[in-house]
Amino acid sequence: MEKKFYNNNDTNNSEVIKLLKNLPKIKAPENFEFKLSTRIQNGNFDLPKEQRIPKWLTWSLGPIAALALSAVVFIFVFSNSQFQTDNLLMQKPELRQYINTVKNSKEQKSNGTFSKVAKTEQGLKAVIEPNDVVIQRKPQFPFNDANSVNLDNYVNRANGTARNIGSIQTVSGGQTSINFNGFGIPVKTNPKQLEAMKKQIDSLHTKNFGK
Amino acid sequence: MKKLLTDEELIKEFQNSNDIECYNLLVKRYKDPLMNFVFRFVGDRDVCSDIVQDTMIKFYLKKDSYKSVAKFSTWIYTIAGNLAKNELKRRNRRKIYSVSNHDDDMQIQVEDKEFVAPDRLADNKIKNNMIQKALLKVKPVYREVVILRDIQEFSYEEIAEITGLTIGTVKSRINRGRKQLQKLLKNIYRE
Repeated sequence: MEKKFYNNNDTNNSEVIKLLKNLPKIKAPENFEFKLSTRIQNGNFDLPKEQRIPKWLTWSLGPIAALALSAVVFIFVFSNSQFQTDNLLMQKPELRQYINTVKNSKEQKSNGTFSKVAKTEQGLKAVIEPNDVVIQRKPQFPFNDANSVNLDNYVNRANGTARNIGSIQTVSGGQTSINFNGFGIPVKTNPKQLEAMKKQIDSLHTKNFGK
Repeated sequence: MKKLLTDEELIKEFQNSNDIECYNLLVKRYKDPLMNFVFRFVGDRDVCSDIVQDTMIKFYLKKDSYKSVAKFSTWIYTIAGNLAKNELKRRNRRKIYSVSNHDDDMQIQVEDKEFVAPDRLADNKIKNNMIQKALLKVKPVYREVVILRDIQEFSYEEIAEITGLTIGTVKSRINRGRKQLQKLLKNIYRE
């Protein structure tokens, strides 16, 4: 039976169509029906499962991947910023602490007793004595008290005593008026010259006030 | 007596009375055409036989999903076509992991005129083999419709029903498929 041609497409590629038409017909193997009937009788209906990714999953994969990536980047940046806070300028000076502990340990060694030391927020040390009594002590800095100024006290004006006035002036840069007559240069005096000057002054005094 | 019944009457009988004789008759009628279609589409006899077996099993199990509105032939061809496409997808996935690519060798055999001596082309067996190889080089979307049209001799309407495409798409795909095939087989029909 001749195939009906529906449009010109079939005539344009007539050579290809002819070749395909002349291909030998493939037949099913002889035992095809037997195999099929045994499969049906045995209930062997194992069909190949279609492994297809659900459409909703393919649609959601993009945003999920983007979210995961941004989370990873965020964690990376966040962890980096933590490292940045480890800047030496941001850290508390460890030298003081180290010296304090060294000094304390020296004191404790010299006293022959060991006490637990805890630091308080206000810069005072809470020292726990062996008899469980807590004493707050001022921390001992490695500076000379005479040459140093307690900045906190200066700012609060809590300790503006005469003893510290010189130190306060040092801190304030000389804004507060003080009695200062200039720098004195030590000169070796001649006693004769001094006597002569005294006589001159006395003579002037008698001239003006002696009368 | 039942041999005189049409495909649609047989499946209706099978649906209603679960008569295995009707089923066997339909299997007898369609095993060879389906075998030919699947072999031309997939290109492997053993795999093709398994696919047709699976098609018949699916027909047996899902007989009730057939609606009398459609032709039985288009329904069974749709099942076979889908199973064949799944097989091709599975092969493509496996191909990603395979080291050697035999397709390149195939292309040389088909396209290179000097590779095959002209006197050998006279041999029909080799010629048919080359046509089959060329057919397998055509994109599956075009290959399916070309086989259905030029080998299985279905009408455009029937192909549209089997593939679920519009008639326009079917026509353009057939045209493109034939052109691809013509390029690949130019050395054969010049002889």
